[in-house]
Amino acid sequence: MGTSSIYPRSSPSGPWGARRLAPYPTAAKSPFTTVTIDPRTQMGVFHDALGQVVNMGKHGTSSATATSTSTNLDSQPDQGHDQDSQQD
Amino acid sequence: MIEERPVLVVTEANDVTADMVIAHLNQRGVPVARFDPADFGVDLTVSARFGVGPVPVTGQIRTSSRIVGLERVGAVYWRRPVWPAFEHLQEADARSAAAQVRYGLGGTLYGLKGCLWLNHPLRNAAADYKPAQLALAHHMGLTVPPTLVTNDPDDARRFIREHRQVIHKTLRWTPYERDGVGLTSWAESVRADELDDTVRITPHLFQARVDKVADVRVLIVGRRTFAVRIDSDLLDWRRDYTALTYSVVDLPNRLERTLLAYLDHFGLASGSFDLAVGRDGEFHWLELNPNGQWGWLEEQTGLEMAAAFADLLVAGQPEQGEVDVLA
Repeated sequence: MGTSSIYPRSSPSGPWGARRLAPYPTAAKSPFTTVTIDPRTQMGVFHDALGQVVNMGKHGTSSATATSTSTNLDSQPDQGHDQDSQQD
Repeated sequence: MIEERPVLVVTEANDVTADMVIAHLNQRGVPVARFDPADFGVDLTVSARFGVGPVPVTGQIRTSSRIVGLERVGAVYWRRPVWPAFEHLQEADARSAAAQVRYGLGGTLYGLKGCLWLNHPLRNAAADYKPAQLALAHHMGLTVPPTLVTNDPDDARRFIREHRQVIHKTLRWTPYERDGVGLTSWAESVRADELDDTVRITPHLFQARVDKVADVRVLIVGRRTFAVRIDSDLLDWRRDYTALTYSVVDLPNRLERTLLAYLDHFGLASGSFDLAVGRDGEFHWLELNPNGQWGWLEEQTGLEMAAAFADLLVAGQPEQGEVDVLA
């Protein structure tokens, strides 16, 4: 940055773009609390807080903005989900 | 046909999109072994030998329910894996342990011979840089909106005045929470007077806003193309899924060929492209999500995307006799 810096590099607000982040659209509660893998089918089995199996039906598939805090279920969204690229 | 080669599905447990593909693999009697690297330890074991016998890698991956011979693996479906973080360890130990798993488990898988990767994570990573994506798209003759990547606020202001309608997009998504609320970036209009000197801290991406009538999401799986037009009044259609209507469309041949070539350039078996249809009728290239989501599009359109993924995984890698080594 040199000496002409007009803001502290350790600006508490961080870069401009960070202040443009905004919440995901909806934050409905997940219909399940735990997921296990069925040893036979290798597919996920979703359970509610009482341990009952939840039929995810057609409401579980993830969209491009899905997070665990949104209505959709994958914890990873569309872009940059892949942690592999975080180290080089 | 001899016994089908097993498919490894590498993803977190909570992945209903992977379940859709696994259901098709099960129907076809193809052995599936699913695991998440986060389970490494008791529930996930790797034991691989190198320098013995005719194949580059022998040994096993063992999950809590499957044992797979590494030399038998036909394909790897790399969906939403989570790597172990070793949070119970001190920071340096955790970092070291995490790296051992990435380079030990990941490295073993990367060494498999004659195996189809859908997609290879290192290739996903290489393709996941928006500036490089834009440059390649333009090079391949796609219509790319004028874009500025800069940390110079004055350049950014000039760009906004020049193009008038300009959006800001993040260069990279990261998990982000503020006061317990998950935040993400949205394509949003930006005015010159909104900028300040904190633009200097990192590069920012500014792009001339396409005067669009609709968006198009294009999923390519192998050589199959699924193009879905998304109609809404939204600048960023991810804002409100209830406001979207979907219709299956055909892409112009030349555009489809170019998108296929685009994936070939990065060595990707699959990818999701975001395009905008301009008022001018032109397709404007926006970005590629190398490992984009598509499950909801199959539900909305009935397009047989999961089956296409299964087809590709079953077919595996065409015989080349070479280890798939990345440059």
